[in-house]
Amino acid sequence: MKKILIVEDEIPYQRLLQDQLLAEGYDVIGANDGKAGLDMAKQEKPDLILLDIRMPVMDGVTMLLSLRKDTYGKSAKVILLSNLEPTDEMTRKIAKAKPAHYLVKSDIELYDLLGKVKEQIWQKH
Amino acid sequence: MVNLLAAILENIAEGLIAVDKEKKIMLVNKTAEKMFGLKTKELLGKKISTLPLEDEEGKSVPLQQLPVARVLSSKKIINSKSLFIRNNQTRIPVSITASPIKANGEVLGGVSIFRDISEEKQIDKAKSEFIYIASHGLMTPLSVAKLYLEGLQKKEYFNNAPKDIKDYFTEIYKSNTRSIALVRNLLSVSRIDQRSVKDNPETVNVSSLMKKIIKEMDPIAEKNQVSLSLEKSKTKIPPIVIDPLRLREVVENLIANAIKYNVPGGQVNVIIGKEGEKLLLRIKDTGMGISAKDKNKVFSKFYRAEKAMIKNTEGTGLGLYVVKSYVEGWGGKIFLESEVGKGSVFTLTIPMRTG
Repeated sequence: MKKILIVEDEIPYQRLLQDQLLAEGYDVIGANDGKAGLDMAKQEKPDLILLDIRMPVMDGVTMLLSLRKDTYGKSAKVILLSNLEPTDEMTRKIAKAKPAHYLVKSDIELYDLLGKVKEQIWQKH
Repeated sequence: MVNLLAAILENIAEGLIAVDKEKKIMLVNKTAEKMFGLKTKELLGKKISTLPLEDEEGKSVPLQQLPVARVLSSKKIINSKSLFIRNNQTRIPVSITASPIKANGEVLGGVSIFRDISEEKQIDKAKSEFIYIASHGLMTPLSVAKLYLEGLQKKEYFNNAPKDIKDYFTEIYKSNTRSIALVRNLLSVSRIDQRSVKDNPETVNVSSLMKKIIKEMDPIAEKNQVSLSLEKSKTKIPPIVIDPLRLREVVENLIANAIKYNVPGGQVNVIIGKEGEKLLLRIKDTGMGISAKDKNKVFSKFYRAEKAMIKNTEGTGLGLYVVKSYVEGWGGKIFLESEVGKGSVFTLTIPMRTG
């Protein structure tokens, strides 16, 4: 069974995603800040990480850059979730942390988000 | 005997510099000396380009672009709020008003008034930052609500729910969608102001994009009892390099307005073509029109013409500001022709980048 890690500080958001992903048949684990998410990712080595950007303790982009320095993390599949479209600075940072996808929460329908998850998790490297 | 006129000029609390027909400095008042950190004797007789004036990016302004040089040929008053005085390590944002010195039907030179607008700019910046932070904060609960609403829709029992439950749900969902659109508009505006808009140019087939947008907006047009049509010029439009999301935002904004402020049975015509080396986009409507008084103001932030406000209380007054900013950012121009009671025509010309 494919394992998905959701790193998101907005608990209701995380809960809904978890419900939906469990219903789709995935195994789901979660963390509520970047630091906890980083540790969990390295430990559990999920097949896909849904990563919120704005979080306390450590934000998503910092976590991602850190993750890429790890052996597992180097090629981990990541979908970044944001409330905003990227700014110049953030886009540069994300580009450094390839491969990753960037989705805007308020822009994407749940149906399409789940589609994207499916597409990414089954994609060969 | 005190020369009263000279004393008056010297003591005006704004910077004053006058140049002759050859653009050489002939008068500098005390305030200007202080602003520029230079003495009159260092400046007299020198070309106006010796003044340390910079643009937004810190680049020196070329002679022909200086307001006081421009008035010599235009013979009209010119205002600028986008330049800065470089005084050693500081940059002072200034509002410059330049006018030609006319006497006996001749232009003898130009005079420029410099006003320090640091405080104004700071207030503007604080406002933008506030909008940015507030919008960001607002987006979070809206995104959560959207997600849960969509999650509800997927539930089995929802599909079997009585009609009024589904209707209530639809209204909540619509409200949420509107709120998200408004916050996004606010965000666009604040980011334009803070100049952090990320332009993501891609190769775009404009004709297909326009067809797609028209198709998506058909239902809204129908709901408003307005016909929506797309006309393509015979000359083929090559694929151009432009940010498709921004272009979409511009077109959707203009078409939405054309539909909203229209009359039942009215028309919205969208025309695309080429004008020389520029892409031409025209949106015509048979709507309420915009008065001469409002024409100049509709592109400013938060401005809503009175008639528009009566017709539709929901408008934010931000759409056209965003449209103009994007279009000008691409080096393009936007024109408005309108007649009250007849309709409006918005014309955009955008230089085409092909590679």
